[in-house]
Amino acid sequence: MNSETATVQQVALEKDDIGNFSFPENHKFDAGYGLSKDTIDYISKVKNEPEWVNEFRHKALEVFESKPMPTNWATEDLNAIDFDAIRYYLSDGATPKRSWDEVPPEVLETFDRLGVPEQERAFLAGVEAQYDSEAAYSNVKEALADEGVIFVTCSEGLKEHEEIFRPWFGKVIPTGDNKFSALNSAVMSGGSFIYIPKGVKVKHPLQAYFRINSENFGQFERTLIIADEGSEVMYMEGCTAPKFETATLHSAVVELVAMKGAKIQYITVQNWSSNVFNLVTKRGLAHEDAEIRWIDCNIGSRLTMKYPGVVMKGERARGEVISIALANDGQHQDTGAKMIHAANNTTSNVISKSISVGEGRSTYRGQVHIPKHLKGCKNNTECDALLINPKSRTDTYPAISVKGNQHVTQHEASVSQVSQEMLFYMQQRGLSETQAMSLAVNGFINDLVEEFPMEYSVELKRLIDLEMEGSVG
Amino acid sequence: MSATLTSPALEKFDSLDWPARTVENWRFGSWKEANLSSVQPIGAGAPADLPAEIEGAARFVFQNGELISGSHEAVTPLSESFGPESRLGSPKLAALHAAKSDHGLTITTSGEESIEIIHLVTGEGLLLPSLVINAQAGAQLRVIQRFISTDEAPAVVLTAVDVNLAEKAEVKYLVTQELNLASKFIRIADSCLQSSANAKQAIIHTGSKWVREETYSTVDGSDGQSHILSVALPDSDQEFDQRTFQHHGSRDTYSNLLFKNTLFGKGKTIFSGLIFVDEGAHGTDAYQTCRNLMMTDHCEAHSMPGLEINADDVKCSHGSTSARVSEEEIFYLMARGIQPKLARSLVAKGFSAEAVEKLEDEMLEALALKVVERKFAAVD
Repeated sequence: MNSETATVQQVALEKDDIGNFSFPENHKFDAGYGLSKDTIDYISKVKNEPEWVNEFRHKALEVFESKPMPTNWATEDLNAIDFDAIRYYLSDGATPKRSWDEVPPEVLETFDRLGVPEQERAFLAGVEAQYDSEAAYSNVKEALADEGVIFVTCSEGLKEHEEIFRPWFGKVIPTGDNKFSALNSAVMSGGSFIYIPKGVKVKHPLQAYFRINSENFGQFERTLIIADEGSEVMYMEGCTAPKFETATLHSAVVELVAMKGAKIQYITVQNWSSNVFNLVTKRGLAHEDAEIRWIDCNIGSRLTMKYPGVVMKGERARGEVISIALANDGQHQDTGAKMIHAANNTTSNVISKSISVGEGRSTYRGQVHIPKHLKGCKNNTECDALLINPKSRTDTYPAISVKGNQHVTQHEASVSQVSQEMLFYMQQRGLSETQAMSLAVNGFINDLVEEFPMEYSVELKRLIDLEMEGSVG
Repeated sequence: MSATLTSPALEKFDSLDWPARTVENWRFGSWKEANLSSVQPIGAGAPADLPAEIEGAARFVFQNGELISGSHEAVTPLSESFGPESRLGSPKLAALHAAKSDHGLTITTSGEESIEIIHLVTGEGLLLPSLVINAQAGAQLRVIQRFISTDEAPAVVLTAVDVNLAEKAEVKYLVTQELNLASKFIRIADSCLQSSANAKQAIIHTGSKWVREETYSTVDGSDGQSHILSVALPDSDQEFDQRTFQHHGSRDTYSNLLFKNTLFGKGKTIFSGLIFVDEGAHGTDAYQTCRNLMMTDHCEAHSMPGLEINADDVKCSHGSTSARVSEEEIFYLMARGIQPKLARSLVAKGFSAEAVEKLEDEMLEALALKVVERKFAAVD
């Protein structure tokens, strides 16, 4: 047993190693520890924000302080977050560089090690690289910029493109949606603003990479993506942080708006180190004939609470969530989906697969809502959980509300383990037990991994292999 | 009454709060309905025509809590109130029952018995019946419990039941809730199964304007099998709120839940179920299915099927669907000369019958289907 535990730990370390390095802090701007009105004014001042944003932040702070922790349904582990021991803003200045040459050497080295500039050259249409509170680098290919595609940081968006930004900002996820969306609204910094003009189909993905470098730090990026009529975009985000002894908080808000006939795909590979509380609110608004897909993969973090949602506001809108979660020792992946049908003939699909290893715990929490006076709405939800070890845990808590008889909803969930016969069969053919287990797990999620762009699916498989090492035997 | 005023149960009742919006177990539920603070105790009962006798079953009849007929060696009047435990959101109601319930029966047997209990409910006010079933090792017990209104007054029935099955005991237990449409019905049901015990519990809800039911099933011995069945047929202004918990406390245990709701008018159902597998309860086989058949454009169904699994090597699944009668089925029947309205009704009856048939007991099935039929006739 001891040797098994040791291997699991070793593997966990190896996995974290991908992002487990940090540079000495070198911040020009530091809002200090704790959260108060002064913190907010400091952030606003550094970012030179218009008055309405400062007011928005102050209102959000009041909401944050008035809302209780949602521990009536969520894990008590949330109480371990000490909001006074967190630094809410650390940056080197609020303006990102347009060229990697201008980025400070240690930041460049960070992203180099994570392979971001290389991927940008290889297959990305635009990249934003966020280092602690602000983007260090942000650039979009010239051809796209010429077509009118806007890909800037959120701060630039609200200042320079207010006429597009402000009508949708905070409309999909209002400040008071939950305690953490209020927190984000109070201290938001970094994140992207993307606008795709009518009919523009962005062929290559846009990417954001979120990096935490500093200890006792909270990252609160805010992203707003607007895809105008008939446009298409794929956005990918990745994230890592070094493994510190103390807890780190990441609390983002992501709002998507797909206008008539637009398509947005939002892809996340979350690999935070296992000291990060990852409490994220993500929601999209789909107008007539629009489609929003969340493809969400959670491998890292101590506690993730994330339920991407789609509000289908226009007729024939479509929402989809594809979710993969892997919880290892000391991790709780509390993920799911929200599908709000608000127009006739809207359809939604949720497919969630989770794997619990060691003493890891994965949870699916879902909501499907079909209100009165609608017709022809459809929802399909499938949740499958795989348990690897005797003490692995999994929970499923869906809630489905249907009004009227012109809809079809179905929900199915199952829990299973890798069968001994399957492992035996593979071992007979020369695979080690670990290899066999890894192959079985990859098989379990294979049809979902295929939904990711190739570069990501390869990375995903590798991460899963690393997680599975030492889990058996 | 004065003696109970200082009872621990009453103190507990006083110390607890009525259900509130923030309690997760009341999500989507009408928690305000559960506040019984202004309900007075029910008065004296009245005689009424009784349903046809069931062959071979000993019949007990209560009129508003007064036992007016029935005797059997395995059955004794409940001498003291037992304290049901609500683990699904209503500790206040459970404490109220424990503190004030003044009538009920205990069935204790190791033999083969059939017992029928009829509760006739008359007039306005709160009625608190109890039932304890102790099926000793090897017992084969069949219990029918019916709640029937004799008038249209708004009664509130808060009932609790405790079912214990020792090794190899078998219990088939059917409850029919046929109260009038002004009444409320609250039921807290606990069952605990030892190894190789087999329990089949079914409830048919046709009456009451508001129902809250909390069914907690524990399987604590290997090869124990717990079957939980329900047929609910809400029409306009009826709301059925059912919460269940399938607890697997030991290795190699089995549970299977099937709830079938057919919703008419503005009927509303809430189903919240949880399969809970303890650490170390490997080899668990647990299933949970809730199906809502939506008959109108104004009905409303909320389903929250849940799993909490703390052990591997288990087979657990749940499924929940909401839809109307499929056009294909209607077409099939119409092709055979059946009018669409009748076709729809036939399919819906068959849908309910599927749950009833799982009782695997002709006599109980016949009774259950009769109650279902009557509701269908009333809805028409």
